[in-house]
Amino acid sequence: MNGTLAISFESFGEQLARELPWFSPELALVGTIIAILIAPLAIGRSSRSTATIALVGIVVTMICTLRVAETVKTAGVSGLAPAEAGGLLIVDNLTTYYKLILMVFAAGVSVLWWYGAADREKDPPAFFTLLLGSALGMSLMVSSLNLLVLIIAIEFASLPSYAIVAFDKRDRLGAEGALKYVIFGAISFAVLCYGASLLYGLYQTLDLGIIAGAVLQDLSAGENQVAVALALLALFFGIGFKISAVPFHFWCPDAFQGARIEVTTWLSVVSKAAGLLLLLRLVHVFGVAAGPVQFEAPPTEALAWVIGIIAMITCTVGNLSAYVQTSVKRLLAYSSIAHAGYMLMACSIFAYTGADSPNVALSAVMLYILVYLFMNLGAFGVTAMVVWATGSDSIDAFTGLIRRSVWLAIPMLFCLISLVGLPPFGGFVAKLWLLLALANPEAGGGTPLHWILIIVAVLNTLISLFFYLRIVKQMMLRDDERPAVQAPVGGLALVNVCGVVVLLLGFLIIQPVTDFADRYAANLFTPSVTQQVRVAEPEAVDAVSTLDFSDPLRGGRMEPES
Amino acid sequence: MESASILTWIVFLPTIGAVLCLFAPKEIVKWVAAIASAAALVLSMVLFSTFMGGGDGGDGAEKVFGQAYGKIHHVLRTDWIVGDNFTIEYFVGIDGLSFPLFILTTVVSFFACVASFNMTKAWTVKKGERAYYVLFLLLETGMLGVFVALDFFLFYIFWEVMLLPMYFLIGVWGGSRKEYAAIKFFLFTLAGSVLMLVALLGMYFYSADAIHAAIDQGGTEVVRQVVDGETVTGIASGYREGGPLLTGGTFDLLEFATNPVIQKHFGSTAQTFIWEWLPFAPTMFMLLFIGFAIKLPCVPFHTWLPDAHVEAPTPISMILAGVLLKMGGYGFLRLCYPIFPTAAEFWAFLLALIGVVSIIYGALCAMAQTDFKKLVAYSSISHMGFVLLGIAVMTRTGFQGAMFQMIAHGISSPMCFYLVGVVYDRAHHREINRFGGLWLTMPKYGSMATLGFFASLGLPGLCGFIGEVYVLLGTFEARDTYAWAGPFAIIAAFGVILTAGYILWLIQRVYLGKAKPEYADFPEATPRELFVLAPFAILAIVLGVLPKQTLFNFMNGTLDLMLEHLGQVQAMIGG
Repeated sequence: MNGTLAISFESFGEQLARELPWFSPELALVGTIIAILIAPLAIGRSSRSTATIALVGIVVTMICTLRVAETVKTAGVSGLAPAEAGGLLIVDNLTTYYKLILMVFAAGVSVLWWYGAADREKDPPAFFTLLLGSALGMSLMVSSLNLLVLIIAIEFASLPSYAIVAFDKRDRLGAEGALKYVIFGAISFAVLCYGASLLYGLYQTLDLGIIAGAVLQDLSAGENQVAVALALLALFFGIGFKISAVPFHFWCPDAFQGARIEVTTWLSVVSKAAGLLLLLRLVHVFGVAAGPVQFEAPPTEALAWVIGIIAMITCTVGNLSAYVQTSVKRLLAYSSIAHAGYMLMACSIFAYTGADSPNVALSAVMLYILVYLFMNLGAFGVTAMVVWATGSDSIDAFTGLIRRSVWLAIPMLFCLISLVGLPPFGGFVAKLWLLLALANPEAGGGTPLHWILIIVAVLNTLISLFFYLRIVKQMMLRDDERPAVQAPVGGLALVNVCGVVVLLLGFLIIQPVTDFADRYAANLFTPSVTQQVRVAEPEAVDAVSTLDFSDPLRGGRMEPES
Repeated sequence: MESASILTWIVFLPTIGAVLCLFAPKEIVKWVAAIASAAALVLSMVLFSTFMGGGDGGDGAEKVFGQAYGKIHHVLRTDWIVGDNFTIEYFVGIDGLSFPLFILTTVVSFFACVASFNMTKAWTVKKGERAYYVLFLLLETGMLGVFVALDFFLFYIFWEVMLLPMYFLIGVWGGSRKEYAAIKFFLFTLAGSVLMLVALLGMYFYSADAIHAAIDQGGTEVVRQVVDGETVTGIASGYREGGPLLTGGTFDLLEFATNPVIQKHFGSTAQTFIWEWLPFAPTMFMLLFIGFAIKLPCVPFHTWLPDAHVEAPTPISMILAGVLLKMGGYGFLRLCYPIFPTAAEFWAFLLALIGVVSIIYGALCAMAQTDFKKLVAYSSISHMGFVLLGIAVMTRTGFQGAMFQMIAHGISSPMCFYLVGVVYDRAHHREINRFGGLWLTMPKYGSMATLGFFASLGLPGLCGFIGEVYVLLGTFEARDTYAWAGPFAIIAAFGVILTAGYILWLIQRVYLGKAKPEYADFPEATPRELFVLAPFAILAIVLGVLPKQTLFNFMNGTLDLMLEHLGQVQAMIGG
């Protein structure tokens, strides 16, 4: 079953009927959004009814995803449009995994929203439309290797995110955060488009598989290096913005602090995960294009160094900046930058070990995202409840939490220590698996770059201990006569479930979870990386020296083959 | 009679106790905790039956790679996490190296638990009695686990599990600068353990390299075995005859040490780590060494210890001094030396130098202290210097002395800390110069105190003496190998004099002299206090009089085998 089958043998209708079921999760999500928008006409715009529809939609999407996951277990497919190497959208283990994570997290965030904001929400349908709309965009982000679809998906994920950050219209901090978010988003989007147009101009295809093959060919042959480097950097700029990799991270703390806490929780995990998985998919494609593990062959090495260095800077800056924060929301925002940095490290592993063996880097990041989901949901959940009860998100508001509400303090402790990455919590396992991937020569790691990354990662663990412990210290070691924190039972249940899961992930259920990640990291859709038909250009232009920036489409053309 | 699960029971009994503590009624929490740690103590006594009867290790040791270093008893191993290209095992076992330390841990933990009953003031002011005992018991599980874990990953987990309870035990129930002391402890130890983590990754992947290279070359080590109808090609285990073949990297601590393929790969001087200029074995050794040296602690890494000791509540100081410091020494003997013997030789001078400096510097610092507890803390640094020196010279006597010194210090230092705690409970200060004549007001306590401090001083007939003498003799023995060994032994011997100096001066200032009126109404040590002190006092005497029967018999076999093994590895790699 391969989507690249020649379509001339079947009608468009037949193709649609065959391929649409693969995309049932997205369709279910679209249906949910439409239902949420239409339902107010019939049953009013109450929080309860909207949330019910959304929850039903999330569950249906999850069921659809699980069904699709079985279909694509052994091989990814690509379809929904004609293309020379692959279709517009991809369905494989990576996308189904992400959609599962997305839906679990959407459910968790909805629960948070239900207890924190549902009562005073003025426009629940709009909130859920934006939330699920961004979810749809994010799921499309990891489902494509077509340059154009990719650009649309990134923007599709971003636009609702901007709006949802500023959802409380009268909140100044939210508006400020959203404005920064929009401006950064717009710039990075422009740069991304520029990079994409360069790539299209160079290779005259939108298929990233073919582009990857051609890029590596050019890089190793020393042709078009400036144009290619510029294009790849621009592409990375766009993705780095989503990941909030340093130096594209300035929007992140402000947007995270300004947004409502449910929204912050939402953006902190899945939005970054989407960017990371997209980057990993590109890395995978480049790995495929570079052939099975030959790290001596340098074309990918330069790319690995760029990503590696940015990863190092990202996690170091994130951790160091977090140290001086007094707002827990902001602190967790910087912590999310740092964790994105850790995960970004794995993106520097360019390797392809065959279709059916799991991609070690991807498996490590998938595990990390899964663990990160629970520890972040727990930490943000507790913060949310402290904010609702005290009206403040400063570290000071956590003083003596162990006495004021033990069922908030314990999960918070578990999640924070897990975020540091200490056993026996899940964060340790996640970090260790990441380091194991980095050090694994069979999987493409183990080079000096990767060992430097390992050393930077463990030193960062040490730095991060400081600021996570500041909250722990405030909760456990200090106390004054503050009143107890009243928290909704459902919210307590949510954070305690997260706390227990984080603890169990640390020793009891490592095996099933790593197996789970491995299973979803194998059998990815593998695009064709060679161009069947290469359009010859009439004029031969010497590649680098005559690079003409006034006309990027022509400036970097390859020399036609003789 | 060897039971596979007994170690697991002992290690996790305190955890079970901790869970029970969570749900027990408030009044009986402390009894639940005491019973849990007593249960671990009693059960650990069963292990004596294994080690009784003429020493361990030599008899029945499996004959592989010369002599494997000692037979491991009560082994329980089962796959824990099986990844695509690695296997992490739950692998626990006990040998002559870990046995004395394991027993020490259960003993010290139990009496520290009883000593916690005294913290009544803390309970009335801060409450949290339940949390205290839960954390205490979790800490005990971590400590016991470290001594029996034989899989590096498992070892690392237990090692780290201790951090958080300790942080809270110091940070919540400590003295006035508790927050500073707690974070300092946490940070130092974590710094050491992240280095250990790098070593863990390095050792795993370089052992995988070694195995793969050996299989590819198809030398004599390559064995074929039929498992479930499939032929597996791999390398025979270094110490398990007929065990499963190695086909990739391993986390098995014994395999690292005993497998000739891995040893040749690790020990080769041509082997580099990451970069051409970084030799593999010395780098790994150093990464591990720093991790353990922080715990031991020896001089450049020792600054956390006085703070942690002074601020920690008395029972926690007992645990810290009695057990946690020993993990450093245990780590040297379990990981650094057997796995990287060539690197041990490479670094011998530096290590011995650090040891000697610790001895002298610790003693001088102790002499300058006016705080009772800080004095005992610095004396620990000095005593632990002997451990490092004894190990660094790699002689039989040195190893035995180092091990004995660890146990002896594990008995004398908790006793000293408790002695300080007893007087602090009454006087509410620890200024040495403000005390005087306490022996007159509290005769029983005074006698115990004198005995405890003399044991720490190393008076012949008490436990501290044997370890120090063995270390000094062992260092002298090494003067044929190392030119510096003789002078170092002499300098270290001066440390003994300094120790005598500060301890005698301490006893004079605190216990002797005229009874001061402000301390005249101090009550004599209570039965509970004597119940904690007496066992340590008895052990101090018994170990001092019968060192062979109480300790050397249990561990010499293992230590001899280990040394023999080190020699063989050095010969193999050198030749």
